[in-house]
Amino acid sequence: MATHIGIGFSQKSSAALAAQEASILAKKQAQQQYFDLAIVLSTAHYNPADTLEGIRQNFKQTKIIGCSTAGIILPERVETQGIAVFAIKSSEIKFGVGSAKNLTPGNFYQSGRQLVQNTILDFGPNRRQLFILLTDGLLENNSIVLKGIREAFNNVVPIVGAGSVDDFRFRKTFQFCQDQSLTNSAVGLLMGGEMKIGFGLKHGWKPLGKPRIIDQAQRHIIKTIDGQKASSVLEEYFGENIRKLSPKQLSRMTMLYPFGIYIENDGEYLLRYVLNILDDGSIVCQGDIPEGARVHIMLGNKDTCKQAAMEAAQEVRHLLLGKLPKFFIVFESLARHKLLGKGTLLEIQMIREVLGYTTPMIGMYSYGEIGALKSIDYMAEPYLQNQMIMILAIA
Amino acid sequence: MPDNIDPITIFSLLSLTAFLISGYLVFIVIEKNKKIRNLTAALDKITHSFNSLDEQAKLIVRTDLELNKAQEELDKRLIGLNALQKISRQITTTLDANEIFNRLDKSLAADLGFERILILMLDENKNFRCRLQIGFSKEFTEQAIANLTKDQGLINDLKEGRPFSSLTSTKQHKEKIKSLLGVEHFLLNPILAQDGFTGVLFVGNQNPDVFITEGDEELISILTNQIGQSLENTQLFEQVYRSRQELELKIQARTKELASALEEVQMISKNKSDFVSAVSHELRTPLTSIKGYASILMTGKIGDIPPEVKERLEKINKHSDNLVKFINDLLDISRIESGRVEMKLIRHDVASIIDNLRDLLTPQMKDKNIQFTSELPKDIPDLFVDISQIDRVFINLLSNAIKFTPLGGTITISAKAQNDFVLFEVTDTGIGMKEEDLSRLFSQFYRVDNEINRNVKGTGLGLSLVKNIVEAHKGKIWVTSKVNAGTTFHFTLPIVK
Repeated sequence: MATHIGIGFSQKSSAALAAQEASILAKKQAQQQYFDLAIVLSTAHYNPADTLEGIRQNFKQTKIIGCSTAGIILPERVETQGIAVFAIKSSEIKFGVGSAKNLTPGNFYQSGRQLVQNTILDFGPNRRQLFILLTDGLLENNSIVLKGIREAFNNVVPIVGAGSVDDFRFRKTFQFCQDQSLTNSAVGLLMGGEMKIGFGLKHGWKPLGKPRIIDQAQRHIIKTIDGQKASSVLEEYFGENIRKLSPKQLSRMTMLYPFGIYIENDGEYLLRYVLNILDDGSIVCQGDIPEGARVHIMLGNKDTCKQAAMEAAQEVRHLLLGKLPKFFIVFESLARHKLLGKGTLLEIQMIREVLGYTTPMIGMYSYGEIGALKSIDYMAEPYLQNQMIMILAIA
Repeated sequence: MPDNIDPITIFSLLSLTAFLISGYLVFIVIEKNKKIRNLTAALDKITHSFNSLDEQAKLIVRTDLELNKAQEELDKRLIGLNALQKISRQITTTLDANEIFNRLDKSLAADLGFERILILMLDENKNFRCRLQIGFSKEFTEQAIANLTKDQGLINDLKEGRPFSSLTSTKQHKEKIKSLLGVEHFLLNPILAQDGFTGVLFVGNQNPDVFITEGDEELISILTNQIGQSLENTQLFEQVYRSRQELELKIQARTKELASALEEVQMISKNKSDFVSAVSHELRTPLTSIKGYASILMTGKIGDIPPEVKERLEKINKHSDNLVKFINDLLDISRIESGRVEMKLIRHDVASIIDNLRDLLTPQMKDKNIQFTSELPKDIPDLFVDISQIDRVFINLLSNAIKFTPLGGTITISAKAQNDFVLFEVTDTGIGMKEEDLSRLFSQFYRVDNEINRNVKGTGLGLSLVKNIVEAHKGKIWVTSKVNAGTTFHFTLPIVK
């Protein structure tokens, strides 16, 4: 009973060559010829089809899952250009992969359910312990996709994941599943077997200013706050010019100052990016908004971010009853990368200090992170969240 | 209730009670109102605090926004500068113009933060030629070149070194360049070298949200200068390289000429040696006969000879001996020069060589009252030489020293080990030589013009032979001298390893 892990990374300019080099390095590191799963992370510089072809040449029978990212987190560095392969061979853990393509607002829920069915088909009759969702981060409301997935699993399988992203230009992201490079899609990885799961989720953002009440909201759109048009809150904080910004400029700006929606039951703030301001003054957010909730503008800084990462790692360790994991994966918000700048590496080192310097790890910068609000309640309802650092560890 | 109570009293009691209750109620109401007022005031205070807090929060957010914007610009400039440094390093480490453009690849363009890059350089016919295109199709580039070439106004501005930018250029220029190159935000800079305008660098972003900043302007200006400088360096290198090649060709031709001349000289030298050798052999045979016949005649076996004849015969005999020696020296030089003499190298003790010489030459030195001394260290190593030849070296040098040292003078031989050789010095206190004689001293037939040489006959072959023998032993010989102060011959001979 053993689990072998190999990590390969390449920055060659050609996608095929970079993918091949990363694959070869991963195999070499694990000193194994055959693998059960290859998680592929690629920055948006690379042609996804060529990337997959390069990977497949070296991993003939291996299940492949992955997506595009704005940056790849490696044990010793963070790179904003390159292709990484995280290859796993395990006699203890079983893997199943699946995808749901061409997601549109009309089929989000059904696509979520479809994704689960496809993944279960590949997984077989093994014990289902964890579902990792990698979805197109630019989709308007991934909360509905998530709802479909959750209900397809009858709320009994913990769901974590992240939204794929491009090079911070919010144009097009892609997802990998087996031999397919997709866009506007969601891919999933189902895991089970002899394994223990540890989660750590934190954001480190703090509420700022007076609390306000969301009077009217419809799914991911906030209509009014404190009896006024929702956009007036943003205008108060960021000035009237905010309405002149394009959706991309708006996203980039408000990424650092998300809305914090207080969830009474969990006693936690659920963070939401602003995607757009509609003509009637409604605000479009990245995930669902509960009506009647208390909302704040949130603010974070480098120290609170790093502290949150450290606490997330400690919670993982706590859930694993102090044991070191076999490996861990980090899904970290793009906004945190933007805020931390060169401090991102320090943040990763703080996590490794808790979870072991020799523990294999990989991570990506995402646009939306998926998980329960509290680590301890990881079986509870998962949310699409923003500004989070999520650490998923397997022991 | 008792019957005897006065109704008025009852009324009064009731009134009092009512009054008290009313008073109490009024008091409660007043208290309540007071509390409400207090609470309202507290609420107002809280609301005010919240609002103040919110105002502060807005201020914090706006300040933070500004800080983040500044940080973003700083990060962008830092990344740009890093990219610029990387590009500079890459393009300044090549002296091939094509390689400069090859090294400006796609990833570097991304590092600089631009989606599209176009470099157009003027060719020898002063037409634009595309050297780098990132994010443009070939057809689009060709069309852009055609449009740019037509716009002489723009070209003239660029020739004058004027850059264009979507940030600072006039609206008219912005529109013109936008339509020319199809991007919203751009920089168009001239590439200037020592000869003036050589091309243009265009960078741009199609994304309307990615604006050009002042930092971008500075960055691209530096990059353009760097490219111009690097291209100029390649031109200079090419010129130097071409000159060097021409020079090398000339050197090769000259070397060939010299080699041919040397070959000719060697051929002449060989012919000379062969001639000298042949003539010497031809001379020696009749000379032997002459000397033989003269000797027979002198014995008187053929008949008595008068004293006058005998005297003449003796002169014939003596001159024949001189001639034989001369011919032998000539033959030896010729043999050594042509490598026909094999040196029989054997170990020899330096002290015994010097002792033998002392015995041999003592009579001559005694005649001139010359003091002969030798300075040999005890640990002087043995020589590895052909002793018959080396004796000739010492005899020649010492004979010369005796010849040119006046009565009562001194001759010294010293020796000391020096690496794989022994350095000998033969010093006399003779008449010495002028500086101009020294360089020709070892040439064949050269005799220094002085009174002694004018009176004593010589062939001028002795020192030439000495030089040939020393060099045949891989040694060196040279001379130092001062008129009226003496002469020293220095030479090296190999030791036993």
